[in-house]
Amino acid sequence: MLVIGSGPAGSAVTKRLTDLGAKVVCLEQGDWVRPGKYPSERANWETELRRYFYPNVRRLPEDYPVTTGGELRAVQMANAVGGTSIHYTAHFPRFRPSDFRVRSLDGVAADWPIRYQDLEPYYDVNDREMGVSGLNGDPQNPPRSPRPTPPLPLGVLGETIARGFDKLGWYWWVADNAIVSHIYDGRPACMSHGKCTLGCPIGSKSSADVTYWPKALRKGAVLRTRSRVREITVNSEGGVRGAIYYDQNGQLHEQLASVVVISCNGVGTPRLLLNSKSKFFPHGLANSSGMVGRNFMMHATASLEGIFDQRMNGYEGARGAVAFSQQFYETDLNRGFVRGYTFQVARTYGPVHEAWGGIVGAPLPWGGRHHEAMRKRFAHVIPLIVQGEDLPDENNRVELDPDVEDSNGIPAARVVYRNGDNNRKLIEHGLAMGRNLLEASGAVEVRNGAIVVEASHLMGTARMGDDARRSVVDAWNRAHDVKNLFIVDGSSFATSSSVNPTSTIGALALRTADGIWGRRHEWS
Amino acid sequence: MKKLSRRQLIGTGVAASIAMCAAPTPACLFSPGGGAPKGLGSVRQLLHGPQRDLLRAAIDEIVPAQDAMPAASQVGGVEYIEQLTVRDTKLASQLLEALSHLERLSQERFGLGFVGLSGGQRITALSELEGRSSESFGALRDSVYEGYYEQPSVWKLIGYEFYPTDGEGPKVRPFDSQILSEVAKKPAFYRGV
Repeated sequence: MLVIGSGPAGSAVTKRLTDLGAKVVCLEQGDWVRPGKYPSERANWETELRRYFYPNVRRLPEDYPVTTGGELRAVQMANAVGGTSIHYTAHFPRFRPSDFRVRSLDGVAADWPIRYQDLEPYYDVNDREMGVSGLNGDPQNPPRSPRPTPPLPLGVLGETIARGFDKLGWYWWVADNAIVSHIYDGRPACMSHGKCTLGCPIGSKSSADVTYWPKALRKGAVLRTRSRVREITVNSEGGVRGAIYYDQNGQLHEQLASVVVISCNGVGTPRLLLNSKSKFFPHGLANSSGMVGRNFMMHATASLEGIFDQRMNGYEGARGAVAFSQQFYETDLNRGFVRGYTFQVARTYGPVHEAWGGIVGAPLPWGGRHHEAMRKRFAHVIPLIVQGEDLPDENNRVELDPDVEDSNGIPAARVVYRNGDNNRKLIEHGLAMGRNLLEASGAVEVRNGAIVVEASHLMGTARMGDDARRSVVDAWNRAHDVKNLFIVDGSSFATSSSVNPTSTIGALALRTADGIWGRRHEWS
Repeated sequence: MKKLSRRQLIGTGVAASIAMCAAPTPACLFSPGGGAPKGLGSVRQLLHGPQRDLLRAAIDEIVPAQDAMPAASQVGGVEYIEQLTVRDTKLASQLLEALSHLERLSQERFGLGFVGLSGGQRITALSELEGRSSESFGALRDSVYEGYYEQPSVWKLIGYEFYPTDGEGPKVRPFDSQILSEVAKKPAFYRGV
């Protein structure tokens, strides 16, 4: 079996299938990122952050260009063993049951062809495989199994905003994070350095390169790095035959397989499908519906920061999320929009980031007022993120760029995106409620930023559904058009929810592996 | 959003350097000899004598000395920015544009170069630059902030502890579930489906 992409989905599929007895080869265009390469030991770590997230800024040999249209400014991703989990914050929430029934409940978007209950056991397995910190008992979500490690410290920042939540009577809970708080699975406990998004050099953050991959490789999986897939090939019957890929020297190879799983993220996956044209699939592989690349979702997001008289030292402690609130998660039409949002209590970076404008992106004044502003702000801030559900819209899309190519001559991905009216109303409400929360927590000043126009949660572009005319994969992530092709990553999402996607990506991937294995008689 | 051109994607290297001086851009006009910069190394050579004085004067207005806090140039701001320009052609172009624009504004408004202006006049010139050329001014301001706040001597003054990941982290109070006691009493708050 062939898996393309080694991130949170590709690694989970590979490990699960290998455990079950399959022979799996994974092709990854990036390479291992050795912990020594992370700049988190250097004074310029904050400026390195500016280039680490963006393939168009890094321009590493393994990166491909991602051009943008609409109001989108940039797309974040990593191309490496472990995929973007190398740089994610590692906040690890689950979708809620209603997220799988948005059309039925609220009359918008789509229903998933699976329910929360179908995914729940896989969430548990994924949490154990990855290593998660947190605490069960959250009244905002269905009961879940005991968390593999206890919650990370809240810090002064978390303890302060907790009082604000309670003062307002709002629901909140300490966040699940894929960062281990105790020694777990041979990995050390987090030491609260606070530089998680550069990549964790001690391995406490549960990125796929330190969780699934070592175990999958010990079981016999083959991981071929610096191998960039150009296209999926098809056989004379219209089934997939394998993949043609470039090695790091630019030599072409074909890897044959009885089953192909594509896990290249919500941008890379449609790019590869659209570039895999043949007489059977003239508009791209598995694209008879025309839905490949459509319905790109990234979450409606904006941030606030509360400034407090006392020090919060927000740069101390794991990133992930400190705490979260789903007080405004579900639809209440009196608010003027459908669906809702999650509040994430975040942490800060260091002084450079604060001077540049912090989480709200408003630079500190220069000149005579600079030092006073820095004294008031630095280490005195609680950042709060409003992350809202992004409804699918066919006009928001990933397509092939006709003018730009990567270093192997493969067309770049072009992502076109605009925030809809629902997003803007939702964010307006979230910013107003966020201000209430920060003031209730004791903030002496509250600032907010604009709606975010950068994408880091890449979802929806090969979506799951029962109707082959309106979706790309079925309830088991199998392509409607191609019986031995599976697609699993953020692209499979029918809706975005308002929580970070990686936990759900991992759970879906494990379930997909079971589905492939359960039908193994079809491939042999 | 404008699509990135192939040249923008190539970004660094000779193509950008050539493009920078294919037309008489402010950066090229700013070169003391009027010659084309030869890659990033040549950008550094632009900042000799009066140009370095101009950069120093500008960054010390952006982050001035005040009470115990040093001015930007007192913690190596000029040298830091020169190093930045060596690494990043796009930034080099923006910074040179900012400086040449600033010098031009100073001459137009006060009949003097920026270095020769009074403190108040310098603030006026920089404010005009900020209003008229916000992108290049922003690049200059952000570079000054970056160079300033990466200095351990400044960290001490603002109470920042770096915690490199090859050493111990901060001492943070362990999680205490008591903090959840109030919310934990609340009824379930999700739609069962």
